[in-house]
Amino acid sequence: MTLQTRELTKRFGNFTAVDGVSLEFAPGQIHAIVGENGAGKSTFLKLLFGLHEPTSGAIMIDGAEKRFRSSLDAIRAGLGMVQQHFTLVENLSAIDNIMIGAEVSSFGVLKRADAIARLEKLIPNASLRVPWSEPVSKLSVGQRQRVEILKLLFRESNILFLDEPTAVLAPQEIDELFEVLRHLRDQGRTIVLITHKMREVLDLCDTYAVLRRGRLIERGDVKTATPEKIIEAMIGRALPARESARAPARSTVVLEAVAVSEKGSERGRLDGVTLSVRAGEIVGVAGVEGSGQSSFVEAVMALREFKGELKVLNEPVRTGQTQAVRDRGVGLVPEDRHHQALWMDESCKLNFVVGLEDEFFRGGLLNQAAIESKSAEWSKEYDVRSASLDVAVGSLSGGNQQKLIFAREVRGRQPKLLICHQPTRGVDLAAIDLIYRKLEDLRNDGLGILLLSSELDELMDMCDRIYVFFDGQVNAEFARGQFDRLAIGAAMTGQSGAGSADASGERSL
Amino acid sequence: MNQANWKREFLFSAGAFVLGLALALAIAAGLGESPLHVLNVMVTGALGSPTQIGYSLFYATPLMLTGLSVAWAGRAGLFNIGAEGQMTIGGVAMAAVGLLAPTLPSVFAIPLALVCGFLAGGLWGAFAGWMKAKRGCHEVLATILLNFIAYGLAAFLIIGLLKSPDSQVPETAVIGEGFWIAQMHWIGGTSPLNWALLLAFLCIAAYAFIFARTRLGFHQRLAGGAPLAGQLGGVKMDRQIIIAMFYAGGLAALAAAGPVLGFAHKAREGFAGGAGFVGIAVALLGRNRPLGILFSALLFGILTKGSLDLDIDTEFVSRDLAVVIQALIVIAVASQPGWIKLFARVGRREKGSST
Repeated sequence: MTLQTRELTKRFGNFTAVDGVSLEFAPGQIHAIVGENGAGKSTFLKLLFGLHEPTSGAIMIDGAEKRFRSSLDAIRAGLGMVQQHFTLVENLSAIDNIMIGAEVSSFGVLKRADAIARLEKLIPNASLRVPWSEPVSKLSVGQRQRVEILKLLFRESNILFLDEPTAVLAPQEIDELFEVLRHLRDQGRTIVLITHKMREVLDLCDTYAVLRRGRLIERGDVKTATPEKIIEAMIGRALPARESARAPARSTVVLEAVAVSEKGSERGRLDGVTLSVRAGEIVGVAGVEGSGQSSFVEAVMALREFKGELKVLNEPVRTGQTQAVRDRGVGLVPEDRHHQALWMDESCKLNFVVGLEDEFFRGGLLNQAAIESKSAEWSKEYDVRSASLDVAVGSLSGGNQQKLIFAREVRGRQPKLLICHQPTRGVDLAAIDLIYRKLEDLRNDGLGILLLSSELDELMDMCDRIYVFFDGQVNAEFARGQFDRLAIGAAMTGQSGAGSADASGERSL
Repeated sequence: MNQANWKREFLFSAGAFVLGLALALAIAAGLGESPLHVLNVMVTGALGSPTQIGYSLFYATPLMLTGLSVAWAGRAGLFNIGAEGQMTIGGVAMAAVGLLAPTLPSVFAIPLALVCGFLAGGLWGAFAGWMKAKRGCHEVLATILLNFIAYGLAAFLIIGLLKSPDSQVPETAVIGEGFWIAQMHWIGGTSPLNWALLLAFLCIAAYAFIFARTRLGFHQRLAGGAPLAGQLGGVKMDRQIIIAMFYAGGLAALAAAGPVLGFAHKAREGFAGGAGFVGIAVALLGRNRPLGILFSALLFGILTKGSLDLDIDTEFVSRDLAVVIQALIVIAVASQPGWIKLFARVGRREKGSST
């Protein structure tokens, strides 16, 4: 089926979220929609799925104009969507999850075998198969995503939307997903991928469309596109290449973990992590989410009990003594910035004070003059854009929030160790560029940086060394010059020793 | 806090009050009483003469302090249902000091009684905070249950150790005269209005200053607004919880100054009389803001005094109408998230149709 939009527009008051977008998604092809946060992608999708009513314009399927009053209408018309966050019932089996809302039954008795038979007919290719009667909680992330896709196929969706589908996957799982999507394309379905990763657009898709500020900026054939061209269309200007002259790391160790473990057996627990970060290097931690990264950061910040040895700037970490760790010179850009770093309904100005009370309170009283001048200075240096520093930090874009956190943690704390956990998640490309540049400068000035990320490209671009976490352990270590996507990916999924290299000796510049 | 927000919060609180009052008057009308007559009786009963105004202010005084108590905890993200018990403990502590050192002159006696009351109520509150911070017991549960323990403890002390030997009423002996807080006859006529009102004003001013300017207030608000960010910033959040409940308990204890030191000059069993619970309504209606608490405490004081005459001057309603009004106001305030959503939706629709 061909899905078309004609001059699709959605206004909220004076704000135009989607502005005259005309697109065509032909069957038997994979289409990419790219754009930054706030470019109008999600509003566009909500229009297609009947969650918003268009202000003007039309949606057409095979040339016939459609009006969707709810998402049910859209689903009946053959549209389907795989959300970024899965909507599965953990303790039900895969087949039950697939059937929810479209149960095959007679006289109230579920006919699972009939449902499975129908599915098997739909997917002659084995790449989409999952263990039907296993509870979803026992499935891997990649398998769960397949269950989500199967839910749509079971409802006979012919136009499939996938919202950032690779965000949660390991490299091998990404390859498997691409395999599945190519297969569905070859069956003649229409696939639409919402993404911000150039690699996916170039490797997988046939056409691409770029949205910016609600407008369709560019569309075309992927064969004739370059990443630079697409990025320029996304942000409205070219990003100059970063020069990456690397000063050698210093000998001072700023973070050292030896066999850090926790009791218990739940997912994400630490099971003997040994690693070190020296001044003047960026050390990456790769790994599928939930492999112990969050627990490790919490242990370093003295919020989690552990066994083993953990030293920050040569002093052992004592659980519960977060202030002591901070005072030694540790900056933190945490994973969940809305809860772990920001006071969302408080002003930008006062958000600079959080954790820096010693600097901004004199004799127990807030030093208004100091906070005025410092917050203005730091915001300028880190290009934090807001209507004023008195507005709530929650009203800023993700990128500006993150830049504010960097400004506070770097300029305010003057750290010797900076821990960045998923620093570019939900952040626009221009802000990412600024963050990368700052990190490289800080590194060359002798700051030790621990960078935990699920974006392999980011780690391979930025880091001097990469540790790979799997199941609470360091499964492999790679030095710059030996970075290899597939080897790192293999280590992320638990294939031990895969491409592990001793990085302690040499290091490339 | 910008001005638009301030205005909006005021309008919502005023709206909730009007709504609560209107519904209660509608109930009165349903019972066969003229709403205008009820209103008239209440207003003249509360504000008709200096003495009546004095009574209204006398009732409002403890409500300011219990309101502050609930509001302080609220700022730190805690719900203090224990102001009643904290006030009870504070009042008994004040009376105990007044009985143990009856000859002290006022210059020392009154500050001493206030400090001891504050500490006793503060520690009582801090215990609930400690249970929350260190033992994971929800503060709502802890503070409610500590109320009952406080009543029991107070009864034991009042009827036991501090009992007046020549009285059959459950009350302590009369405290030393140095502990008496003077009454304000120049405003309140023959009412028991006393200088504890000034204490309440001072506490409101201190509360405003602490939360606007000081490190203590900043950390307390951080505990309520962004506990995890504060924790990772190096502020110990469990300590902040205990501190919050200490000050909340102390403020509630000071509410006992008016009735114990200023009026009865002894602690009677049950002297708190529900002021701790009405404090919850005061804090809710005042939205935890200093001026909001001042005005809503005054309103509730007026309501309490005004309703007393309903027993005599109306045929079908009693003073309990004040409780009904309080309850309706609380419901109106508490259901505000729903109201706001409703207004936002109507507003959007109007905007949408105009474009």
